[in-house]
Amino acid sequence: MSSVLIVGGGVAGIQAALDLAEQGIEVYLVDKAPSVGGKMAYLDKTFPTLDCASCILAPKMAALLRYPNIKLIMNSEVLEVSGRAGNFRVKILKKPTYVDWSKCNGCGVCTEKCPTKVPNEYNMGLSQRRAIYIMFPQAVPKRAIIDAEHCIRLNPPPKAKEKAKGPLCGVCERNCPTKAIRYDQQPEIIDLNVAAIIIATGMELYDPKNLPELGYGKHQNVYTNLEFERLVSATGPTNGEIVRKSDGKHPRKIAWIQCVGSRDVRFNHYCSAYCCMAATKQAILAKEHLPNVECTVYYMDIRAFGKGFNEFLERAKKEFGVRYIRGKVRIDEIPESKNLKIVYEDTAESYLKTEEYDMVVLSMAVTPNSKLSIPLELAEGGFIKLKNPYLDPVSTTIEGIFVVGAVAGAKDIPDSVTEASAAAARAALIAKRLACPTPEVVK
Amino acid sequence: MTEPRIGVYVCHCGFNIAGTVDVKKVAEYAKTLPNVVVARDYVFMCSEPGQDLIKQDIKEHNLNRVVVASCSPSLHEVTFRTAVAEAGLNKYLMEMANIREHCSWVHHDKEKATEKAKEIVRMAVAKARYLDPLEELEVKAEQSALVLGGGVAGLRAALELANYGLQVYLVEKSPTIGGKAALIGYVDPKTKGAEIVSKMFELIKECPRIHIFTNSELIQLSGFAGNYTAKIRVNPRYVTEKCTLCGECEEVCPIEISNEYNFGLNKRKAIFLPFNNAYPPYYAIDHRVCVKCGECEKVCRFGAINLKQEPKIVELKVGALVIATGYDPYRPFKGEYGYGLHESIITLFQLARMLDPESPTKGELIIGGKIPKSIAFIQCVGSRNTTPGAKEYCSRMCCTTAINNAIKIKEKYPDTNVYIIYKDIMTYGSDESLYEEAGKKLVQFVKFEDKIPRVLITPEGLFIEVFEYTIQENIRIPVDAIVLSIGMLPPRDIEELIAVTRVSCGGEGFVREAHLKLAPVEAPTKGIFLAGCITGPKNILESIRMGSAAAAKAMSLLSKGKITIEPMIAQVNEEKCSGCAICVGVCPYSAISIKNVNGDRVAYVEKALCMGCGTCNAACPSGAMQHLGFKDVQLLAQTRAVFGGEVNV
Amino acid sequence: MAGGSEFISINPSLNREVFKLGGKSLLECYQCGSCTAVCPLAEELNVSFRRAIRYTQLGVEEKILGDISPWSCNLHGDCTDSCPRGASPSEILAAIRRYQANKYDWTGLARWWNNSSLTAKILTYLAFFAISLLFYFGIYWQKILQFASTGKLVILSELLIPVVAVFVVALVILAPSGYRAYRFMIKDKKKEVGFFKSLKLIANFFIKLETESMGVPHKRDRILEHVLILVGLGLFILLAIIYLVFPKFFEFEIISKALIYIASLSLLIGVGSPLTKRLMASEKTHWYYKKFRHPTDWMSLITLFPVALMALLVFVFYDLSMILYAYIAFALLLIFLIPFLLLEFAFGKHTHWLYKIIAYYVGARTGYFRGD
Repeated sequence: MSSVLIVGGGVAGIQAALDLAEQGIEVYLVDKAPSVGGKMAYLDKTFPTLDCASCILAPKMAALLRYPNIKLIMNSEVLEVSGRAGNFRVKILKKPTYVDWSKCNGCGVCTEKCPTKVPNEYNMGLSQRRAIYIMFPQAVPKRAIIDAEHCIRLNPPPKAKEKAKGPLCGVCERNCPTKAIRYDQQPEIIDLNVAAIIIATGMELYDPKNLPELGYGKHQNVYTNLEFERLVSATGPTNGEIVRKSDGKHPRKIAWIQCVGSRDVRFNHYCSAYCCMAATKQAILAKEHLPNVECTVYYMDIRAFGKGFNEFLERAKKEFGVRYIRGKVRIDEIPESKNLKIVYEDTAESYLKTEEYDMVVLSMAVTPNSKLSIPLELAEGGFIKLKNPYLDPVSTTIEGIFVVGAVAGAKDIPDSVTEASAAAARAALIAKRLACPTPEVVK
Repeated sequence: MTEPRIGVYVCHCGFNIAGTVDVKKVAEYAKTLPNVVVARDYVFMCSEPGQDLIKQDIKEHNLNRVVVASCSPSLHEVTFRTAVAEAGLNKYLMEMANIREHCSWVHHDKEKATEKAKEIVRMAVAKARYLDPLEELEVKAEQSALVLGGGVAGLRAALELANYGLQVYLVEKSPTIGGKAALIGYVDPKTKGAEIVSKMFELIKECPRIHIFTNSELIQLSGFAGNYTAKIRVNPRYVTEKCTLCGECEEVCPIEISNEYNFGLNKRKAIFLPFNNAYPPYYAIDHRVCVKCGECEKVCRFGAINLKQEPKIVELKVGALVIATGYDPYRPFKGEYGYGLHESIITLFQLARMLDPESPTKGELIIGGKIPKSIAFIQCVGSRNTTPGAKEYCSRMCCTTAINNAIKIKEKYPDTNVYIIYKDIMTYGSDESLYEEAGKKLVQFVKFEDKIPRVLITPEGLFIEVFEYTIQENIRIPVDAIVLSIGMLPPRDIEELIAVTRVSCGGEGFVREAHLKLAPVEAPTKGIFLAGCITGPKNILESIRMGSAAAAKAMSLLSKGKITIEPMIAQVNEEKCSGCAICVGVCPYSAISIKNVNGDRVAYVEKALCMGCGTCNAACPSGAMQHLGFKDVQLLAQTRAVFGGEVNV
Repeated sequence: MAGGSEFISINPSLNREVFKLGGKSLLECYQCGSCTAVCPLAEELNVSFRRAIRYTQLGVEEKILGDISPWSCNLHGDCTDSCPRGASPSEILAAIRRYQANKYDWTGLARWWNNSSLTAKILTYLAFFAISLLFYFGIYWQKILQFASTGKLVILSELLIPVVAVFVVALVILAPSGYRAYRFMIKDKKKEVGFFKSLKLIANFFIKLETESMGVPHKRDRILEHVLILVGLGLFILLAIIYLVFPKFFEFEIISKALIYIASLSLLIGVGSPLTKRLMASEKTHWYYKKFRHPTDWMSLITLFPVALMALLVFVFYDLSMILYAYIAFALLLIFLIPFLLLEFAFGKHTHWLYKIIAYYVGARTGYFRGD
């Protein structure tokens, strides 16, 4: 029996790994981040059940560690794939973490002592972390990693370097109880032989700066929805306090802007599928955190298509009093108060209106992480193309390589998880070398 | 019972716990608790050295209970159970005290958090004193699966499972497999549902491990994951494999009824072939309408008709069950948007069928006897609370299907005005391109919100009156035909399915999955998996993927050939049990039955079915029902400890 | 017909008509309202371009005819730049204007002219031109020779008469159409604003709008082109009136000649520049010159260009002392003006000055301006 490579350790990758491992198949799970979890690890709660995201994801992440046949290859990327279904040869570049992960036990002493502070990506830059850090408290594997770019030892400031006689800093090395720090760690190439590959590289948020009319980056109190998610999260930069960047005050009025970069021929033609419900959820969360806050969602079509979604939407409207206004907007900042003036045509009233808000959240489009070193054909929107989704579900144009989750089309968590299991079924057949007739393509 | 000798291990979890809780103090405190022989703190109990510490102490101090005060058991219970087992202790003699998620992570005040941690540890120690050793059970898993429903989801699941090497029984209620996908025309601009289904049939034919039962239904399911016994009733087809599809029988059959395989667009006989590529490729007699006149039998030259066939009951042993019985189209009531009152008011399914070249109209758009010059789709019929009969949910596929067919109409009849009267266009994900395309093809969209459109049937023709939301005006649109974009309903026979398989359904009427987000293809009952629209509206692609996904879960379950049964389940004290059967009624998994033991009625728990929910334990009036691992005595000790009560019961 | 009377019957073929009139992206619009949200006019005016487009999509004829939004549009194009559907709202609005103008026109000729193809238009134009040519030279050839022999370019008034007559005819044709437009537009009046206040509102609005727009390069180009045409035409009309009323003015040769050169050069550049950009449209050309290519757009420039060219030639010849050629050029100028006036001015795109003025006037008087 041979093994399966999964690229991407988000919820889809995790699910595929667990389904395969349970069948006794050896799984390599590669992720470019130092921890698995993907985008779901950033979320506070999930719609429409308002389940705490990390409460349902963390057990799955932890489960990965319980299977001896799952090998996590973090902080790595796939360099090259050759061969064919049943026998792919894969080269993986494992970037240095500068910490010996076989020794590190994630105690976090180093992250307390490190003198260098840098913006924390996990909190979307809304808080700070050290140059040596653990990605987030529930990280799996929970291991420290040195950010070489910001570490004084690894990337000393030119002036300090000139003055110093020996190597600089070294605080983490001195304090590490398990002596795990390795400043001289080099990139490593890992060669693998796998029977099948599952691509689950997921998505990134579209860059909101491409839409200057919304003023992201220019106006302080304009947030992306992922930033807001961190802001509202108990593990976030403010421990769940919703406060404005400009003055640290609670907002009284928050607006969500839908279809930012989605359904727009100038940016992305496709609908990002998750954002209507995510905004509805965030509005409800805002109401739960700040009962007096007024929440307004500016939308085009509310896409409440999944199980329980429309019921959730009705609840937001009736129980929480979230206001939905149909119309596209432009955002101006009011310089004195740093409040935001939303200019829009209320398409019900055919009238240009302006309304002032304390905070604006942009429901960003997603873009697929499909720039891979594997020559897979792409479909419209840059998503990885499915060869013949009706007869050969989740197969890419290369036999034996499967694709799941948002990199194959914008989608929400349950659909990603379902696809992951589907890919696990398809990959298992190859890994176990079972009869699997290749169906013809439907014309 | 030997005197408990307890070891307590307090974890720092780096700064996660130690940052808020004074772990040294907690460990010191633990030492003062009764039966505690040793208490230690360590930076990471879950690490190798941490585990070694426990193992060493078990041997050195002859410990027979272990309490680990660290994180949530969902994270490391398995780790510590393995560790104590390696030291020779029964692994269920380990108890975890969660002082991270339940304490350090949610508090800031170090002093108070330390006090709380002490209490949590005290409770765990109190319980640990009453822990019993438990043993896991292993049962053999049948290498076979039953797939209910022969639509695309079921077919896909069957294909995956059969290729995996499992024996698959595919049970389909109607005389052919293929489901609705075979009938609904174009599923995307280029692909016909019937083509997909035909290709799937070819794959199925090549698969020797798939046994298909058509005209059949599951009537009984007993047993548990890995060891189900399924009873199938195979209703007679009255036509045997000798059938050559000559069609002579059809001509002589005197009975004519509406053809459900064309969504009522034409009529069929009592003896019929559902559709051209139907599989198995034989005629079938609809026993509900056949009068057994024998005309067909007389005319059949091949002796393929046998009206004396009787229903058969087949008993199958299967390891897993995949439910993929799909959905029913919404049934508009008479007069709902004029449905049933005018020949030119049809449903989306009828329209989609019509545009299939193999339909009664040969792919032509002929409604009410003519090609409409103006046609309107009304969306959300039966969905999103539009009419009194409508469901609250969105049926997910109707917008895309309507737009797809609207484009088809525009391509074929560019002069026909096509209106789509909608509430919100739900072309999510990449389907948005169809919405864009529709605009380019001059399909017109009309939005309504709370006031639903009204259909007027007048001598001058059909009109739709609608309050257009984006101009806030009442407008009247003259149309020649109206298509009701009906949504999806749970299948009509879902009640029987629930009765037989004990799955449960949510408020909207579809089967409930184990977890909406992360376990979308599993039923709460182990061994039962869900695929396609049985859990709620899906499009065809999503259903197919769900078929594969459900198969993956069944593979995982059966791949080892055996199934481990958790020992933390309900146990009956037969001495105490009065046989009142309250527990039988409350058990959500039907794991409890009443059996006769030496003439006494007592409850009996089928271990493999029990999921350890504890409901019976709570309901039992005599205390006969105990939940292993959470026995009354254990929980009471824990509860008393909360209030600082005596640890000794 | 059954049903409540408050329901508006729609005209299902209206959108096809507007589609043919150049609104190619009409049905691509999905009603987001960004066009209104980004429009520099919308903050000042209570207009909804989106609603005008929706009326047209659906065929709500009675609403669209009186809608002043399309007429208030100044084709700045911000909407087209920010349309998420890649539609061109400004182009659609131009098409809606054609549709409205067709309906305002009482003769029915506008509909024919706006709907005809470019070839048909050019042929009609040429036919008109040929008739006018025969007519003019038939009547005036001898006189032209005679005037030319004086060696001076003075006796122009006689030659002007037929054109003035045609101009008056065109105005007479336009007047009832203008009135019809006024009736349609005034229908949904909300409040009454005084006449002078209205004028002030309009003036303030335009000054502010155009000043702001001059800051954007592609808008500046188009504003300048439009202003040049306006200046050219305006000066010519002014000069013609002066010439008819107070011919002595032209004895101040430097001033009058300067004005004439300014007028003709403005017109020539104002027409020539967009015409060249359209003809030479390349990758880099702003979409405006690539989108607005409906036959009526072409004709509005094609018919004006020879007029401008001849106007310039008259004085070029005059300054070169080629008096006969100057007279001939002048006659040709007038000849080119006849089809322009009879076709373009009375029925074509150039009617927009009238409808636009009416729309802004009605708008100002019925509370479309937000400023007050």
